[in-house]
Amino acid sequence: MEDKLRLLVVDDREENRFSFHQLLKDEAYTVDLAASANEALRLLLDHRYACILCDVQMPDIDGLELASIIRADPVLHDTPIIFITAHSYQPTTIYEAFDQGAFDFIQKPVDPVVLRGKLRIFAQLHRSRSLVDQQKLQLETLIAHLAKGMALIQPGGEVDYINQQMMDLLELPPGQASASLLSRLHSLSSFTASEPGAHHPAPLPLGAAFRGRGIKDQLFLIRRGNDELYWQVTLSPLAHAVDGEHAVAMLIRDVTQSTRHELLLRAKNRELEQIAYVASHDLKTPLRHISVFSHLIDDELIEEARSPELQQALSIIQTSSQEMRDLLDGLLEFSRAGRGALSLGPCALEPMLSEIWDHLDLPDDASLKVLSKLPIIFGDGERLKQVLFNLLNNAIKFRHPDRPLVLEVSADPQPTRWLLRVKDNGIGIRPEHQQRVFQIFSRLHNKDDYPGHGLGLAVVRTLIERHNGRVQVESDGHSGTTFCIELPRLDPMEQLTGAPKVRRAM
Amino acid sequence: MRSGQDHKALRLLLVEDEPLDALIFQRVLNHVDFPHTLEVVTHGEAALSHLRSGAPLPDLMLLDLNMPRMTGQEVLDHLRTDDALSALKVVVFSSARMVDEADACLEAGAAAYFEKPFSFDEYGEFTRVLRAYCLEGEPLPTYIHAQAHS
Repeated sequence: MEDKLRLLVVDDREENRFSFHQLLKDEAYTVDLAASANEALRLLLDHRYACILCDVQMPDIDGLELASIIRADPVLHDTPIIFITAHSYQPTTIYEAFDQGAFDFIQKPVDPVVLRGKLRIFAQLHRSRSLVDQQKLQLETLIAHLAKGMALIQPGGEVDYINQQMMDLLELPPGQASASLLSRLHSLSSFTASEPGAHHPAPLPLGAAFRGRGIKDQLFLIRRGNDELYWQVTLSPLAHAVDGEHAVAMLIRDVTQSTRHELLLRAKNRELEQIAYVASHDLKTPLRHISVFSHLIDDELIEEARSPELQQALSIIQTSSQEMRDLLDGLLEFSRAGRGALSLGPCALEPMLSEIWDHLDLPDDASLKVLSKLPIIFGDGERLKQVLFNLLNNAIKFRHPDRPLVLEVSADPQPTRWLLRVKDNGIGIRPEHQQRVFQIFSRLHNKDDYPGHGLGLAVVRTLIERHNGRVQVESDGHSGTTFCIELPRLDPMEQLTGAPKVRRAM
Repeated sequence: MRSGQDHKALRLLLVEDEPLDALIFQRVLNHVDFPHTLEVVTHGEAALSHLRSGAPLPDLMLLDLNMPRMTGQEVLDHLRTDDALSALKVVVFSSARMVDEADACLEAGAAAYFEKPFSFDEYGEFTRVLRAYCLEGEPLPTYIHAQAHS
């Protein structure tokens, strides 16, 4: 059921007002009556009308004057007006007076059928206009609250719309958008920012956008005074063109903060890579010499000089060198897990799992049970393989001495992720130790009981996190351990088309 | 070199800035039983000028990666773009054991990648490979693993 539409009847004659009221009261209208233009204006302060029925000839302010006042008002200007004219009236003067805004006229005596017909049309117009107004308001509210600056610019530089954010970004004086936008954009000191460190002057390509060639989310460095800002700019030509020129929607997002962080992070990563390189080459070199020459002493030592103490000292040097070598290799392996681009593709976990199982150094009585169909994960095959290898290897290493190793692997689909479980019946991990197992070089056991450097699970966590996943451990501390891995799920359509849209991990 | 054998001596060029590593390598070669000659240069530029001096090219170049001024990687790049040298067989000697580094070297034209061993025993696999290459004409494997010669 639609709300009744509100009409305003303006007529100085009581009998005319009465007859309009009688005529319309049964229709879907609420009718307000005004005896003069002044009274009408008072009512117009409080209400918006779907249509105004207005007598032309009235004392003081006549209908045409009233209409001019309404047309000049920014809120009321588009209210439809139907003039009630006398026979003798020349409609052309009305046309001349109002070249815009919906209006019509109707001659006295009023024919009810004609009046209702005209009102119906205006009512329809009013409804669609309200709808458009409402949507416009919603859109403007949305744009006003965008984190981005937004402006709609005509090829001549006239600004159809601009939000406060854009005014602030461009430091435009209030109310001066159209007058100063183009010159402000042209005077911007902007540079390419795709390659950090190597900046070339690059004006925002607004001219190309007016000619129909836009840009999307392009990063620019803006120098303003002593400030260096990073802006992500979209220039989007609207489809409609006049003489090959398009209006352009311009969106600017200030990404200074996040870009600075990213640049800092990149620099830190380069430093880390440098450290990894130094660890692998420079630290290993003197260590290698210690090791090689201690072996040389061992080989060349004449039997008379070989005392038990000396023999032990040589062994210690050799074992410690080997130990240090393993640690450095471990550090490298861990740093490598966190670096380098992932090479992404669909990875079927089931064949991957059986391939790894076949290559493991397994105890004779070990068995693997795959409890549910394993998914295809979008990820880096080699790195996911390493995750599975490390987990399985871990289960073998920490198997229970009194029971045959049973490994159970299962996968549960969640709305956006896969939950994989790798469950063993080994010695388990006590709850108070479970947080530590993923830290690098963290070991829970004596090295003589369980060899290793506490590296495997640290690598697992790094690799899973690089796949936007999570890994957790569950164990009661004696009957086994379950590793729960969450990984983003491929959309079934994407699985079929092989065009996945999973975010590439950094 | 022992007389009476059909095989030519294997001409080796070692590019190594670290004197101790060069010493170790010379010592390793003192104990092999196949004919060879060894020349040592201490940096990449010296290697390139030696190769371009007009002297007969070595059968095998043993190249350290981590060197000042010109790295082993850069030497490989120079060789690859030089028609006269692009066919030269190069075994990269690295302090590291890095798969991605090995891949990068092989991609840049190295014939093999080898982590510098931590004892003379560990050179065993390397000298076995050299021997097979020299005496039996066997191809070089791309990765040479440090392990004791059995």
